[in-house]
Amino acid sequence: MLIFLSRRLVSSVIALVGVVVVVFFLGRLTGSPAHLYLPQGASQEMADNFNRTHGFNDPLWQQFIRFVGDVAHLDFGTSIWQQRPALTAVTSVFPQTLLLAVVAMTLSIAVAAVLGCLAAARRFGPVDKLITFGSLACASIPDFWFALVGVLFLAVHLGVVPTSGQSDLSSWILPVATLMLAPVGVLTQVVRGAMIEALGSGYVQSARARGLAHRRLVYRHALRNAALPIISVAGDRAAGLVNGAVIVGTVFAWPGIGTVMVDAVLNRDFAVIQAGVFVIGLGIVLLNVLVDLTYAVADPRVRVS
Amino acid sequence: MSPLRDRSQPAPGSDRVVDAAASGTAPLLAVRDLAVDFATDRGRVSAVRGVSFTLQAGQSLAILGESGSGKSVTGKALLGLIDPPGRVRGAIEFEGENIVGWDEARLNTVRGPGVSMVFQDSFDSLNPVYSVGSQVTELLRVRQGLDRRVARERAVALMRQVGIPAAEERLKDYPHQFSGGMRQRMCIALAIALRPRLLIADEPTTALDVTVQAGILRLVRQLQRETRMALIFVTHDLAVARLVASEVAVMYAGRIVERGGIDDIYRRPAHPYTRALLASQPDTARSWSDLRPIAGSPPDKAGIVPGCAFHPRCPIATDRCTTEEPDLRALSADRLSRCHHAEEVLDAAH
Repeated sequence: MLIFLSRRLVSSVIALVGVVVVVFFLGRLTGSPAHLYLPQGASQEMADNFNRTHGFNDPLWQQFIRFVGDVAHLDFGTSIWQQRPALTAVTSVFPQTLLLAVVAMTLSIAVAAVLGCLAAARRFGPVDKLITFGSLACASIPDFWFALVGVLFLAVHLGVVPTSGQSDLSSWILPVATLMLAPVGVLTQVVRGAMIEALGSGYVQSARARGLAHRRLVYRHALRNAALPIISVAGDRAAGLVNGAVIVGTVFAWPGIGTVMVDAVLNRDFAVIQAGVFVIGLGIVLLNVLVDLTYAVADPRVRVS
Repeated sequence: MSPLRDRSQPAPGSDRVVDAAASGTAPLLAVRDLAVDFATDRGRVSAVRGVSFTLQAGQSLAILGESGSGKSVTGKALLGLIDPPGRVRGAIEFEGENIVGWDEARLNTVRGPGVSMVFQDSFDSLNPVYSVGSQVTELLRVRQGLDRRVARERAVALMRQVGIPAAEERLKDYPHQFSGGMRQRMCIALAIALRPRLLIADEPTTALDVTVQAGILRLVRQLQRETRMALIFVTHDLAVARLVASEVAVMYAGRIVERGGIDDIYRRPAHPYTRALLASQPDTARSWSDLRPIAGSPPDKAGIVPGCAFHPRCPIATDRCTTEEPDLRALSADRLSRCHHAEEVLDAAH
């Protein structure tokens, strides 16, 4: 198990390094920040000055070597836009995003588990059909559309939630709902499928032949086995919340990593882009470790071998 | 028609068993006109078409048949394990009460201490994510209300009883850490944990190595004798059945085609299907030329042929067999056969 985990960790770190390198070069393809920050009609001299200050006039490979050297000390440079260390700019908002993601994911798993079990227990019945239809709709609705319609309906028409920003609990409703949309839709289907398979398995049948009550078969014998596919899909969906964070940042002006990243890209703030990608990537590596550990807890065949 | 035929209600297609022991004590299990069919896209498919038999307490019966003969479905029906789209008709009287149509809660009072079952695939029968110990103690605690410590002691005792070495240390092991034979022993321990009065074993040794099979069979027979529980042993292998059962019911196309004492039938079959089954078994053959597979395949359950269901594969079929369906009739006090030519078959065996 430890060997497996460390092997996974090594490959994840290699992937993370690769992503940061790619982002370094891709970011610079967007053009020079000088034209963005200097007033219109600024002289070439001013541009050269700007580039010299920020080190953009060196050849790309020199910039890259300097970047790698700095990153080795966890120094991602300074944000031109925010005028503070890029890593601070990212880590100061990351907890907000993380909290939102954890809340959304926990609720998604809980809702999907209940709906999926209900659908599986009443397979092909009206309840199952309704849940299946609803979950497919959830998985298919574009989240940005849902977010905008949500704002229009709940905030503008009914006025029960603020249109944007982070204030009291009501300001959490739309961001959390937007992030939950796709995970709930997909996970409900996964839970349903996994539960149907588990309920039809030999061990559930033989437990039933020993006279164990239906509820015990569903929640103790089947659900624990169905947890395995649910965990892997939930992990995958949690990583996908990065996309959702951008939507939530843009539509709801949620102070999180989504807003910071979008601003950084629009402002060619390379240092923040790189730091942001690094932090998100690190988060996903840790998430995968968490998924592997959960898997081991849930399945003795992974743990004991 | 045989003068020995005992048929108070001559409903066609229903079996009535003349049981030597039936006089006097009420049977443990009485199955009457059991029919099981399944709704499919192609209409209703019959798996069991009118099976009747009785079983006394402590008696051991083998149900013998090819795949698709309805033998496993019969076993499952006895535990109320047939779910929609399956449908069960007829009567299954266990200790005098007809359990057909009972709801799950009521069936659960019978399952375990009344009737219990061991399945073919031991790996599939144990929950992979719980240790074997927790699966046994769960059953004992939930069904018998034992506390944790007593349940644990009883679990160890059960594992010893089914011949699992170092039982105490193996409690915390998971099913995948057991060998096939040990896993099936674990399944048997679970099946007998609530001291059932009837144990149904559905091909419990089919998935095992031959070397392990004998040990499991010996265990089943020994448990049956020690605990005096009745046994229904479902198998396709007559040689295996002989080791554990004293009586046999041979099934073909959802019906019993022959019933009697197992050694009797082994020596002198009274149905061409039983005879063919014996000739197709490697253990009875002395050379390759003795070994005869049964030509053709069992009938498609959706379309049973008119007349005797076995006639398309039967070497002695006559015109009568293609039109008139034979009844299960008594040839002697303890032998029943569903064949127009049963006497010929019986005599030919000598």
